[in-house]
Amino acid sequence: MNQNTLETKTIIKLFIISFVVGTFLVIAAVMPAEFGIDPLGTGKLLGLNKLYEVQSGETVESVEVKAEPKEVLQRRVITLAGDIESEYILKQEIPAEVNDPAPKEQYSERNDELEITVPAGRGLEYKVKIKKHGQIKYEWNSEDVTLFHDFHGDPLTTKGWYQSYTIAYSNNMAGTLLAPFHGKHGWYFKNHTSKDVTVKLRVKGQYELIN
Amino acid sequence: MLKKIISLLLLLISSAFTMQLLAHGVDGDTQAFLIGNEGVAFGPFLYIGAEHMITGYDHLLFLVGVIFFLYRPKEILTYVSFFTLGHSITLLLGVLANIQMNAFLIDAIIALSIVYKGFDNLGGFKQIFGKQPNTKLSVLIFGLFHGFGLATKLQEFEFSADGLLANLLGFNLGVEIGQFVALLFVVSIISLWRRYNSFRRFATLTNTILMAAGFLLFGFQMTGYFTNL
Repeated sequence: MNQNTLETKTIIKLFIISFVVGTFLVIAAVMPAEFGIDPLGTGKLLGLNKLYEVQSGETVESVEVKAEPKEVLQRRVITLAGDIESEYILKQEIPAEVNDPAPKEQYSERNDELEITVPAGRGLEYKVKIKKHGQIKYEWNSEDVTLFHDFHGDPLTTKGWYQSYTIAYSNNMAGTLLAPFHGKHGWYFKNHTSKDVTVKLRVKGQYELIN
Repeated sequence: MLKKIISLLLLLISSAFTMQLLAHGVDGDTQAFLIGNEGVAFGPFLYIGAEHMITGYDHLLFLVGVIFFLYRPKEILTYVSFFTLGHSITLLLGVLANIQMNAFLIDAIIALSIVYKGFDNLGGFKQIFGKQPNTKLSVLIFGLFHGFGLATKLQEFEFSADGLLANLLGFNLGVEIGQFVALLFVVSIISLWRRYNSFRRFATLTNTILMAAGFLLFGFQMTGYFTNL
């Protein structure tokens, strides 16, 4: 299809040049900027490793903006490797229902034990209903596999707003929760490995299953 | 950045699991969409397909390579049809049969298809191996790999079984629309450029850059693969 025929030598030369150029760019620029790997030191030299830190530094930052009125949630910049790719900024009003008073009666005490299979490369979450100031104990473990985990709650009716209680990479966790508002509270797991992972979850306390 | 699109929620409600599985907010802007995504969502998937194709530089670079030396609209149409046929087959098959593939490896093969096409355009096969592989067949075969790539993107959006087919067709149609729009731009720019001498002068350079870009994407995907093992 080519209009101008090139010599064999030229084509081989061009092939090698393109390979060297492409590979060099990967090693010198893509690796430090996207993966935080810096074999040649070029990431540091050109400041590219900052891109990686910004994009996915394993930090959970909470930048409080004090001047803002109380009803406005602080600007949250959460950056966790791979899980929140771009900076996720949540700046929404706290729904009024969060401030509703706690009910006199909580859901009755119960306990459950279950297994959740988190497919390879996927995320899923489990939630239970807890009234404001309802208490639960929980415990989960995923054997040896480290998962990205976000323990959080959504209010009953307002969509889109939620509050994280714990964000971590871990293979197990145990704790208690005194629900800060009436809603669905639960455990989100994201499996970055290439194998399905089974999470064993035990819950005990004043809650109700959904559905 | 590459994986940016979204990772979705698995609606794996088996009888043993009575708690509710819901889309999760942390994964990005798509949350609102995901919540409503428990059934047919033809429009959104159409959009996602088109968006993926227009912003998917790997598919675009391959298409640039394919049409680089195609002059007649009819030829362009023929080759693009082969590409479309190839990727539609594997996209539908991959999702419907739920074939799980490693997105990094598939994308690495797609990157190599760009290298292949650049090399082909330089006349590499004819000159070095003395034989020109069937160009239509190669476009079809690489189309199959591109389709698997699309399937892995779509599989990131786990959705319930109801509405699967409609959503899938929406996505596929979106891909074709996106491809058409992208081709309009690429074809007009290349046709325009062809009128100038610089096209011929830079044809070699352009295809070398194409190969380099293919190697770059290949390295990118392989690094991604090995860091995510």
